[in-house]
Amino acid sequence: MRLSKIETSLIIVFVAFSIGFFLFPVYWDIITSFKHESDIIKFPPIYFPVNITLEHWIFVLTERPSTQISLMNSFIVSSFTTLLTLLFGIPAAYGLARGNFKHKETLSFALITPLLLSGVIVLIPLYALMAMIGLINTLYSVIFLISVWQLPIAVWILEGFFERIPIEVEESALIDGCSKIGVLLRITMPLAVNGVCSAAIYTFVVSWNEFWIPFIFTSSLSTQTAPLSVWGFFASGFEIFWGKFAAFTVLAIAPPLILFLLFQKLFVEGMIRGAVKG
Amino acid sequence: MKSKFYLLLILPTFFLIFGVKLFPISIIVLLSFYETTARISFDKPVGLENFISLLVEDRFLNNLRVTLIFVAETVIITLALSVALALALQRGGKLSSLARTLILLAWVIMGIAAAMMWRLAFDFFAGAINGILYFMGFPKVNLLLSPISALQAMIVTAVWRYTPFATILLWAGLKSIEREYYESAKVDGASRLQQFRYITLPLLKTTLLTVLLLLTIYSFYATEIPLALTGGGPFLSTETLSLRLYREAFEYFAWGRASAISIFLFALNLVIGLGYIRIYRGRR
Repeated sequence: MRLSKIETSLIIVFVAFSIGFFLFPVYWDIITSFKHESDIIKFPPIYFPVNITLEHWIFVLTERPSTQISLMNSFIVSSFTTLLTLLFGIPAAYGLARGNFKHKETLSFALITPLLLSGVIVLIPLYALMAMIGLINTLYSVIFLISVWQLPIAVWILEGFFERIPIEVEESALIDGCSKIGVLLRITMPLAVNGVCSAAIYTFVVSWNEFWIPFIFTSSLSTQTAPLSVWGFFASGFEIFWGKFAAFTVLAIAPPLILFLLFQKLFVEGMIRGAVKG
Repeated sequence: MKSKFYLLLILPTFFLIFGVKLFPISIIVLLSFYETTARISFDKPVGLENFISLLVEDRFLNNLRVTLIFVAETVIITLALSVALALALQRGGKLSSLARTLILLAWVIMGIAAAMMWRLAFDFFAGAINGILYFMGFPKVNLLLSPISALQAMIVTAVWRYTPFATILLWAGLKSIEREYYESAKVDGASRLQQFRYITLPLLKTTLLTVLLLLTIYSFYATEIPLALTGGGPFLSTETLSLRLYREAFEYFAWGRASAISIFLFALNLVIGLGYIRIYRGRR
């Protein structure tokens, strides 16, 4: 289909405006982090600051205790969540892809039903339970809960990849005397490495961004994760220090953005599968 | 016998999800018929009191009104924008894929930071939007402190948040439509509008339904946006049902009431979801 010049330029203008819209808050955040305190509240606003300062960055990087703690905690939480999710998700996805039993559809469906109910509400009974066994305000409860939350989507991402591996490869290995576990570990896994990476990156990013579970289950500085630290700028007082908020937010959103830019193809594939099925 | 091994692989995950996500739902359903404060207890049965007291309450009715406006506007604008973007980016090429990357960045940003960044952008003193509006000849007002503009600010933020992911799903859907359909339509002399109407739209219908369902569920349960952008204010004028639910559960610790709200929301989503599916089937 050929488009006329006018149509093409209209499309380009539309897309350019959209990109502007999507990047605008990020741009505003970044430049605010470099503005002098007095420039931040100037009217009309300064859209392209020339007079920049590093004071907010220096404060956030050296004087704010939450910066290091929360980024470290988020790293720990996301890493362990990813590991735990894969540990349970890989066998389950493989079983669903290869198994041939009556209630497969029901099992598959049971995994998504919780989506229709607000995540926040399901946390009530779990909150009561965790309080009972003394796991409130620990990273254990956060890691455990985020893992279970991410499992259905991870299973779906992986299942799709396993289904694409021809079953004949496995059958011939079985005939050669390989055990079933051996087939999964030595034959199928290497072939599904893309799927595993896709699920891993997706899980890591979503865990990094998870707000509600740590918000409800933790309350101290030592267990704070990055989203809570962002929220902390707002919750702690009457005035929001926008410059410092802006600088920290850049740090908090950077790891997922970097992962996304590095592994865009895998991430998008995981995202499409996760969203369509989950 | 052969499938026993596979079943064994699935069971741990299934029990985890069942125990941690599905089983609590049954407790929620039970709790909605009791009055409790900050603990799971079934001492004070109140029948339908939790539901009835909500339905006659002005605040709840306002929550419902705000939620319906928020969801309807968000879903319609997001859908229109993402369909347009998916069509515009469909052609491929380096520029399209760069544009796709830049748009998708917004989806990777954590929800709470996104809402806070928009709060900064809308801020009366530190924001950029007031300056832009002023430049266009509008008066300078505190956008987040006036009920109407605060709700619209929430919708702008939600559209920003959900459009990238809707666009990529639709884009994937468009990509799966066979080129040949268009080729033969062109041979038959179909105009571009006709091609869109008779090829793209019908073949994209399942993707559209999925996107519509997801967008609806997402916006009904969007809690970070009202919490961080407006906090439900001014004077509860932007308090959505999802924010109210969070407050009942974890600020007032009225778990029975919170459960009732969540069941109400669930039912609302179910009805709307079934409605979509009905329209979808009916037009086929």
